[in-house]
Amino acid sequence: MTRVTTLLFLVLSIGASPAIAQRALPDLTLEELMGLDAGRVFGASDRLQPVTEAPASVSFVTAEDIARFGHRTLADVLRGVRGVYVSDDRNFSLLGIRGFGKPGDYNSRILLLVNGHRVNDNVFGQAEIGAEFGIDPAMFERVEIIRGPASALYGDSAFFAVINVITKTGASMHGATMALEGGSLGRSVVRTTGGKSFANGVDVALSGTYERSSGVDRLYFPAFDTPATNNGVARGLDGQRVGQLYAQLAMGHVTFTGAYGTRRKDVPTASFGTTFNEQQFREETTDRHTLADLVYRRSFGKSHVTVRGSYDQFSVDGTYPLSGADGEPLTVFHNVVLGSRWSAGTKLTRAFPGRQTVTAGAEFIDNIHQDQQTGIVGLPDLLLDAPRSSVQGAIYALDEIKFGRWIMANAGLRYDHYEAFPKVTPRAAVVVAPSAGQAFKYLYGEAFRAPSAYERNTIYFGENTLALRPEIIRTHELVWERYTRDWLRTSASTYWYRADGLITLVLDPSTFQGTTYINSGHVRAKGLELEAQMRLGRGVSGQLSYALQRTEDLETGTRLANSPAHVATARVSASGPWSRSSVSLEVLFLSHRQTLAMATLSPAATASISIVMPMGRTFELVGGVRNLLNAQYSDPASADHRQDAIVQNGRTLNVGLTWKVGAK
Amino acid sequence: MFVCCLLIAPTLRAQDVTEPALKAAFVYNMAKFIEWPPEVLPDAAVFTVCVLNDRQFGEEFERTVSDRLFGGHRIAVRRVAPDGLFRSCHVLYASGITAAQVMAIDAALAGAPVLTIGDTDHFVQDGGIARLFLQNGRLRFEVNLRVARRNRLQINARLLALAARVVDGPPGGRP
Repeated sequence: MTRVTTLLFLVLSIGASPAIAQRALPDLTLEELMGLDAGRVFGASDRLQPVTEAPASVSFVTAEDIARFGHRTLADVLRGVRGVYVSDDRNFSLLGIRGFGKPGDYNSRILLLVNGHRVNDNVFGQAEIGAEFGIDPAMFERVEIIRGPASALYGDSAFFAVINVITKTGASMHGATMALEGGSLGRSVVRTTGGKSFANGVDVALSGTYERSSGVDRLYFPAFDTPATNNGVARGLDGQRVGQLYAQLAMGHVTFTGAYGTRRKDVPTASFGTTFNEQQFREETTDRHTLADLVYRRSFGKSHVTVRGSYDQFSVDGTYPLSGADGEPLTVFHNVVLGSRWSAGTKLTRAFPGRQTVTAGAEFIDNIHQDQQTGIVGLPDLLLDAPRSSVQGAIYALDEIKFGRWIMANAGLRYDHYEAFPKVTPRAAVVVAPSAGQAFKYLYGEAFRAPSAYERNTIYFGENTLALRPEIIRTHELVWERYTRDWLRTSASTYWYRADGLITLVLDPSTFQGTTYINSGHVRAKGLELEAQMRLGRGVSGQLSYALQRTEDLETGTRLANSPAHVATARVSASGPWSRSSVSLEVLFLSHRQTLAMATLSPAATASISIVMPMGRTFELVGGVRNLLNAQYSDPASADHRQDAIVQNGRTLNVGLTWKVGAK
Repeated sequence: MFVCCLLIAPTLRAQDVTEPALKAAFVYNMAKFIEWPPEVLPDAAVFTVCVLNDRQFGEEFERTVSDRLFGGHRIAVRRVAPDGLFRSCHVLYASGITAAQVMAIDAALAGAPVLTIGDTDHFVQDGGIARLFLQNGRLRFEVNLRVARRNRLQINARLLALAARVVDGPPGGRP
């Protein structure tokens, strides 16, 4: 930790030295001004607005940040964001925010959007943020993190936060690239991208990525340290293969976005009671995502109309080898989950300049498949087959009213109709902005998470799960945002929330699984988050954040598992001695966390460095070292693991070369 | 050789600033690439920037230019009404106006050398000279060169090279 602090201090003191004092905006060139970000957010109100006016506490990460810091997954992008922490069970990444990151809860309380379109699956409600997300971060234009409940606008899952990934257009790519990367853990990547905006208004963006890695060759898990289970060492079971395709075509008022991603991951942890270190019939999962999204946007005077039709498909295939008792042969279970849906939505926004902006919308979702199947490899008949489907619909309205020059009030209401229950969700906000550079906000929001198709599976969990109702959260938040003298943006936020009826797994011997879900958990939390972003001139910029949080179970009064009291991040980036080159350092700190078995994990502090170096006009060299100081740390494991904590990667290296053609 | 590398202009990475502050700095820098006919900007004249509708832009622009000169000229910022007198402005920044208002302004100017800058969708097609817009959070602009020439404003080629689009092309180009 001390070494990390020294390193950070060193970089910050270089950045803050008077020799490179910041320049005021009017002293920048037009090219430099065109490289700055105007601080707008889309996802807070489903339309573009200044961050200071948005009824939420917002952060965003840009394509340039992603390139400079060498982020490879959405999880990497989110890791350095204020108050956000990511834990990894060596298969899926779990996002923690506002002190809530329950192990085994796969991000079903986070709403994940691609260009404003929901991509949480319709069986588990999971937001997949690792390589299984399906779109290469090289194709992200921006990622918006909108904290707090937003079900009054988006419905289900917008419980703790909304994450909106905005993908690249041809106009932002200007040309083609071919990239090769390689590094530690047998990692290799091939990526090709191309994009162009034509004079006739047609805009095309394309990319394809193939990645494979063998992962950590020898992983030691003390929970399996017996001679019968290879003394706790899982060998060669950490690899993954990823394929991703992305296309966007815009013409006139219509934009089509299509994406397909597949990831196969070996699982070294012997989760779900599988055989440890099984080499022949490995535990592995394959996730596939397909997205086809057609949007028509048009302005008529001061009114904006959006009509959208989308098709999504998700599937997870898993093989799970289970040993029988005493020398009985292995049984390999095969699990298939398939979700698909059509959705249609329309939205009308009408602005009355200087007075109010009214938005009204409706959406309809046909969940064609919410299927789960389990069989045994080699046997023709399925053990379990649960094909299901459902429909749901919603209407919503949002009004933003200006009172005088400084004050803006914001109110929203949404009605969601599910086959089993209806749900009404309100929200309200008051924003006081004495100038364009300063805002005070009071935000009240409610949100819900509907029981997922998985939790309502009566074959697994019994008929009782049909009585499950949505979980709800009520949040109050105070936010202060300020821009100071063109170079510093500071933000402070304090919140308190209470979540009730959390859907919780309990023992129930009468069901097939021996467990069932009930609405029972109650959680209360309060927290304070601080953030500073600065542009120090000569290409040095930085971002510091700190979150203090206390999230506790109301019944026991104890802190939740995987809920650190302190989360701190620092990102510093400096332009190198050559044009367009950069050196970037990221430091992440999590204070100690408790595991499900109430053990205390030591704090986790990691530092990573990334370098971008152009070679002439057509080549670019990138390199990076992650976990630079080789810190040893673990993340809490879920109840599906015998391990209580799962060891994370030590130091890894990465180098890559990009060939650019026709780039501006 | 080594020294020259150290002197290369630094690349700035994305950092959010407020939109009015960014637009104010942009308009101030953009105007440096425009040449007004000498008779409307004689040596001792005050360089007048008129602002229609956008209060926040106006405040930011005043702050931006408070201790600055424009090519040796003092700068004045004036708020104007939609039916105001624009002919004495050097720059008219008009935000959130309708197509009809853009055309009315163009007609009222009747070829006077005023740099009109706006932010509405078809500003340059409706007769404005430069439109500022945001693309993926970054500021971009397009220019109507035909109106600029008609209003006797010379636009530096370096500015045109940065434009996302130039309507009506360079002299002698396609109509």
